Amino acid sequence: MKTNSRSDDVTRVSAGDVASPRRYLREAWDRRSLVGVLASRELKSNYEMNLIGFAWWLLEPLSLTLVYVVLVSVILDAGQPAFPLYILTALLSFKWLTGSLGGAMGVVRSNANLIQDLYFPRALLPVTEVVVGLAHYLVGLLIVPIFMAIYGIEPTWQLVFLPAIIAAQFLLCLGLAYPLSVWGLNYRNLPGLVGNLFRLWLYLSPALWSLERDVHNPTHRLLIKLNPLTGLFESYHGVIGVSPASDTATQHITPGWPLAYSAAFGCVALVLGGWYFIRREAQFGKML
Amino acid sequence: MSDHAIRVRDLGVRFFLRHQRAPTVHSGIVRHLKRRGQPEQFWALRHVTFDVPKGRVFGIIGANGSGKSTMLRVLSRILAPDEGEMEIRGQVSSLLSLGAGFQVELTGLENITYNGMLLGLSRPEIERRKDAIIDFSGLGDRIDTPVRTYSTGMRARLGFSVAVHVDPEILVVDEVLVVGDARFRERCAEKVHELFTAGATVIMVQHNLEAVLQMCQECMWLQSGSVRQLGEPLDVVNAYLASQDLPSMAPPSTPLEGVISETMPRRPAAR
Repeated sequence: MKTNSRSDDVTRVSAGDVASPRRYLREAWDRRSLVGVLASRELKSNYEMNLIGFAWWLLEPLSLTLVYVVLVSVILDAGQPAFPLYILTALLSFKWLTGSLGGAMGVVRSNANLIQDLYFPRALLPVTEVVVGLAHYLVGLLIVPIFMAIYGIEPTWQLVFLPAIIAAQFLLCLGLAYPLSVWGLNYRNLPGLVGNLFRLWLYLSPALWSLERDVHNPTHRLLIKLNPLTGLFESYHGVIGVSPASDTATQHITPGWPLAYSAAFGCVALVLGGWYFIRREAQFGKML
Repeated sequence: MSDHAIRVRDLGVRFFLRHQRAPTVHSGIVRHLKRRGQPEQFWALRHVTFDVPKGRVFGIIGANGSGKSTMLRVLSRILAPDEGEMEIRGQVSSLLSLGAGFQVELTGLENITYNGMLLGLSRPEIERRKDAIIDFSGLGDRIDTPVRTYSTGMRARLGFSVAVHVDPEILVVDEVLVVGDARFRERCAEKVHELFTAGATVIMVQHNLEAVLQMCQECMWLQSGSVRQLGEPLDVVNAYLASQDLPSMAPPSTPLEGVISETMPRRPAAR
């Protein structure tokens, strides 16, 4: 039995201790299967694990796409070629981000009974939220080929970069999910405030407009490139093939530095956010 | 190497008394502006020092609010100490409330997997123990119905069955065994005894002082977050009873080994 090997497992806890990251990561890795269990619990309880449940998730990005198409294409008479698909691509990814971060802000409180009665690395809880968002996102992506067919966009080899873009976004989502899950516990009305910031963030990212076509001021261009969502959205657009080539034509673009920047940004956010989270998680039991 | 399973030194846990459920963003800003500092605090535990040698059954008694459950939460690493330190040798399994995080929409069987993983078992480990867990719970065919349809006692039985089958080296139990029927309580006591004979250390909070005398080899009396007395269960229990102006108890009539079979009622109605 493995009991014998566990006997020399010594845990020392002193007041004011900060968890050793190496030890913490090992423990979290040992318990990683918990993420799957908790995520499937959440998927089951919120949506039923069937296509209609997932279709429900798609409703928001689809209806928002409609809103923006009416606003930009019809009222303002502007927009990119294949504009609905251009927006939808960004909105699907954005919904993953906001969904995970919204979930993260409530994740400590909604798992209060687990946190108060069981010990496990709490850092797995925000991961669960990002994984749930990812599951929705992957199913949501299935609608993209339909739009591609409508607009006559051929799939190209650039699609092999899709997993890399998704991985970069995963890092970014998780990096932001950690601090937000601590603050969401500290401040109960945070989600309302952050909701509006999310909207602002979306407008400052190339979802409704394109960096190449619409932004010409060099300072603005630089600031927009510093936004980690820019690299992600542009890469999604590029591999799906809706990057604007001219007023009427679209093109495929191979992801490059912008994606690398987003991934690097995500890594830094994850290290800082994760460190902040494990320093604070010992207090969770007292704050609930 | 020391043979202590648990070593606690000068341990303290502090809580802040917040009157608001959870602060909001604006109240947080206001508090910073006013520099009102920390809210009122109180120490749920302070200057607590004790050792538990390996393979002991260690009881914690005390009035409500004396810090017993907080102590168990610290030992389970759910709460971090604010003062002092502790050392734990071996894997801890804690049973603070039965069926923590049961998913009521899932069946009992699915909850065994879910709960087992929360307690730290891997899927294959759960697979191996599944039959023993179902058997121990005595739920029979009901294991395939959703936990939503279970009575409180049935949930308790399932929760306890999973927790004891983790085969912990250190088992931390809050007073959760009171819910099952007498027959199940008997099996629980048997299981605790079995873990203890297998060399596990058991820490339990008990209000049933008779059970303390029967099951524990050492006992700690907590009062207002401090250790009031530590030692032989009979001495500690009687000192505690005296402080409550209650008559003292006689030593248990049967030695520990015979406790389970002889003093626990066989028939559910007997208690």
